Amino acid sequence: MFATVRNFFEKLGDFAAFAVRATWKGVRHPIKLSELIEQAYFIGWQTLPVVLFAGFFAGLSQTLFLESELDEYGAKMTIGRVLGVTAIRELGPLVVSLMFIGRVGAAFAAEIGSMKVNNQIEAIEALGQDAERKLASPRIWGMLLTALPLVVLTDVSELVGGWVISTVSNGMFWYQAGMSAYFRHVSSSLVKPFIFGWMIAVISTWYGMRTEGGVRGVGRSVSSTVVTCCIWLFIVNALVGICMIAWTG
Amino acid sequence: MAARETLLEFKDVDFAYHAGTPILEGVRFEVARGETLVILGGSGSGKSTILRLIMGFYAPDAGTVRFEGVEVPRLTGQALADLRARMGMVFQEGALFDSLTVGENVGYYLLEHGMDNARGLPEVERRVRETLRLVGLEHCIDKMPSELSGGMRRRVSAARTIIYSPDLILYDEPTTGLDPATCESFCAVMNDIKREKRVASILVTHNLEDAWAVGDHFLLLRDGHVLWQGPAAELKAKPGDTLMRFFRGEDL
Repeated sequence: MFATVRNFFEKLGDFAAFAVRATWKGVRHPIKLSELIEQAYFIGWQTLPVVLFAGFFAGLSQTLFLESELDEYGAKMTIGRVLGVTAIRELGPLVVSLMFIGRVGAAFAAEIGSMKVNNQIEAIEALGQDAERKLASPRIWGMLLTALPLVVLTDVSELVGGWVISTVSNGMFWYQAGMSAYFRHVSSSLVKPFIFGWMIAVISTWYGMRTEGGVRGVGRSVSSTVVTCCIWLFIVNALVGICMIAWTG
Repeated sequence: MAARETLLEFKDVDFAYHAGTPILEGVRFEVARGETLVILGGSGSGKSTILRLIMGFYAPDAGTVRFEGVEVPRLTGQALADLRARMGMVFQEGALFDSLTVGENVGYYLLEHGMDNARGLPEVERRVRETLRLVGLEHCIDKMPSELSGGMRRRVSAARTIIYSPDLILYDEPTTGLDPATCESFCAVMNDIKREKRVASILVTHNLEDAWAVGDHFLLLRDGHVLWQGPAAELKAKPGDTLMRFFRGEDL
């Protein structure tokens, strides 16, 4: 029991130190532009179609049931606003983060984990390079760079999805949607992508770098990445939500 | 005759990955410039751990590792990276970077150390070709690692190491799983590298033919303890087949 608790805190300490180190190394020794573009292309550009698709249908299905509920209170015309607030504050960042976890975080853990079990990480260090700086930092900063634009575009695709199925007039829908663009709502969309993106990149690269036990170990790292990121995504989302409500109302 | 100049000193090293299960106990040896030390031992005897301690991947629990008088365990950050760049390591399966071509793998060190520009690239290509020629793989420069056989991968791994002219090369069981002819050609490559680059090397293996083909000095390791060490000629002169007795677990 004591060994398990000690092991947990050792891992937690290792993770915290890694998170700070890997992020800071990207600042201290600026990342090559080509590496950053490569990561931004993989994380941002190649994820874009998936999040737009998911966002569109999330907005569509939300509108489908919300509109009828609002209609019962005679507030159907506010659907654009309700959807806008939901998309900007919650749905957009969560949809993008879940796609990041499944598509990007899992790939990071698998790629780095495979390198670890095939001694490629030791080879990088044997060649006089810092493996954390080489493998983790570009991925963390690539994620930070692309998270916000993806969330903004996903917010828009959710609104478009809602607008397609909505029965209120175009003018009313978009006027109401525009009403959701207040600072207290938009600020959530500005803060969450950075927090979630950083968290997913750090967790997935950490699991990758700590992979042990051959191919099975890689599988375990990917699985642990997805589960840990999902759990922490909802916990941190709630905490950030509480803070944002307290700050902006 | 030139005096023997010590390059690496491994002094009274104890090491354990987990407390209570020692891997190495009181291991001590030296490697001089231009010499090849062969470390022989069964699986789990601590051979590969010695190489990782030399590279500074781990720090010893007791004793020390000195490279040209500098204590490796005391180094961190850039100082450790700079020291590692004076050594090279050839891994068991080659550990080539799968997403890079053979040429990019071999030129990796140069590309990552300031030659990734218009002025440096022609020089990198020239040196990559020259190094691949030394290991007999110039025709593979544009191939991907997945297109190579096991023996070729390890020769590329050796080329990736020697391109920056390290003072010491560590070979971690480079011929494991290879057929006898490929083993022989890899040993020939090791000897070519030693002759042309005048580099010191440590070969960790349990293949006796490889050991005799390249070794100047031998160190026999059993359960983390040094059983015997000395020049190859002295080992050869011992009565009976000492190495077979060693691998059978008999007293020497």
